[in-house]
Amino acid sequence: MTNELVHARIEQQRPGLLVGYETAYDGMLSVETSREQIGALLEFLRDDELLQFHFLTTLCGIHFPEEKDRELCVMYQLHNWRKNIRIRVKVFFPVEDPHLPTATTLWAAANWMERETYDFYGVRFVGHPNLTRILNVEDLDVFPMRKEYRLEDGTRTDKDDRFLGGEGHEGRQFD
Amino acid sequence: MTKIAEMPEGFAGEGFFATSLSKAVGIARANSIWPLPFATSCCGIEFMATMGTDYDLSRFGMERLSFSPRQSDLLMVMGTIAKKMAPVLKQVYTQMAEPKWVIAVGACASSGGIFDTYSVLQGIDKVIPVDVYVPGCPPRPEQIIDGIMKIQELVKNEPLRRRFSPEYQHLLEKYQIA
Amino acid sequence: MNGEKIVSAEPTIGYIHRAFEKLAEHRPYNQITPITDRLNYCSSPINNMGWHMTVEKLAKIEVPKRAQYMRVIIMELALWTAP
Repeated sequence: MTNELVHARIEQQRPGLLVGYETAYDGMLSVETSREQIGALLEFLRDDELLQFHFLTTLCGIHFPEEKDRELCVMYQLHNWRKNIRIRVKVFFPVEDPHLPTATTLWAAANWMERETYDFYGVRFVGHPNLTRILNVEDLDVFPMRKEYRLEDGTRTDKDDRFLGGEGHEGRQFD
Repeated sequence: MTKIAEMPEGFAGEGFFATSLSKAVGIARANSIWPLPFATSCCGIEFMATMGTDYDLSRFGMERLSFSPRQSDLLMVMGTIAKKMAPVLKQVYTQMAEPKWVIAVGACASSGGIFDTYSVLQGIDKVIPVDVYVPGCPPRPEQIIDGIMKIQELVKNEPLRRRFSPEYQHLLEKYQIA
Repeated sequence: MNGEKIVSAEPTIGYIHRAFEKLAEHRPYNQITPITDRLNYCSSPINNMGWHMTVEKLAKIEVPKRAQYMRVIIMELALWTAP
């Protein structure tokens, strides 16, 4: 089974589900769909008797701050163990309104992955049974993997990098 | 030839030896420290090598690792402490009975190390008082042994009244440990 | 808990979350190698190899045969030491 066959099968069985597709740099088929269609597409990919993408390898968020109304992206990677072929599904949506239907109804494994995506990017998965922070402390009030948040700990007081071309840490007064 | 430990200052005479209680207790404590390993990452692996036969930490009187904080004297923090872990570490420290000592093994426990990020505690001395810092990423077992010997030196020379002194109470208050 | 009996348990993770992804965003690629070393400290060369292969794929670098053999030897040695 090849990427072309997979793409042709999706277009033939469910026309209109895909927004775009490409073969990525690593030779994997990468398809893009819309927020409304993602649930139907994932279900089709899992249940179609020819495609059989029955295994959810990973699911994660991506942040593109420059792209207007396409800032946030959620990427699913599916794997067909019988034919050993993989597919990548991407959904883009604006950062102001980050919500997406959950995939936990299709794969139980999506539970923690979606919690992680919520934790780091603030994507709300509608229908998720327990959408709370998973890796970070629970009272954190930012979504740290978005590009606008800085890497370093803001409360740190023992580092003065002004002489190395930095501007010191925010909120710290140097005397 | 058997090597015998050095005698502390005191008066020796026919059939008796007199020294201060503080010194005697100090020697006894220093040679029977029960460590509580709090190993979260790579430095913990080095500590396992230190406990093994090659380096053999047991010869310092640390035969028994205590995994209950209530029965241990020395808290060995080895590895990165994330901010989520910090309350756990503080709780373990408060559960330990006095007198207690803390050794921070490795760059992460001492200062945050290479993980200068929002989720990592930048040194455990932000939450609990530390007696000895061991540098290295991760430190060699020799370095850990050196840190242990420094702790023994501290324990040996600690006055009995130190834990009741206002300075010590002030130190604990600074860390909001009652 | 019901007395000494555990009735239900809920797994919680993230106690050594070190923001590795965010670090990797901010550092040049050759400075990531020491960080992947410390991901799994029992078999660090294997983690390094994963990172190096990613960089090679992104930069379209062909690795010489000799280096590939050396990698396999190093990874096998790491496999022995890993528990």
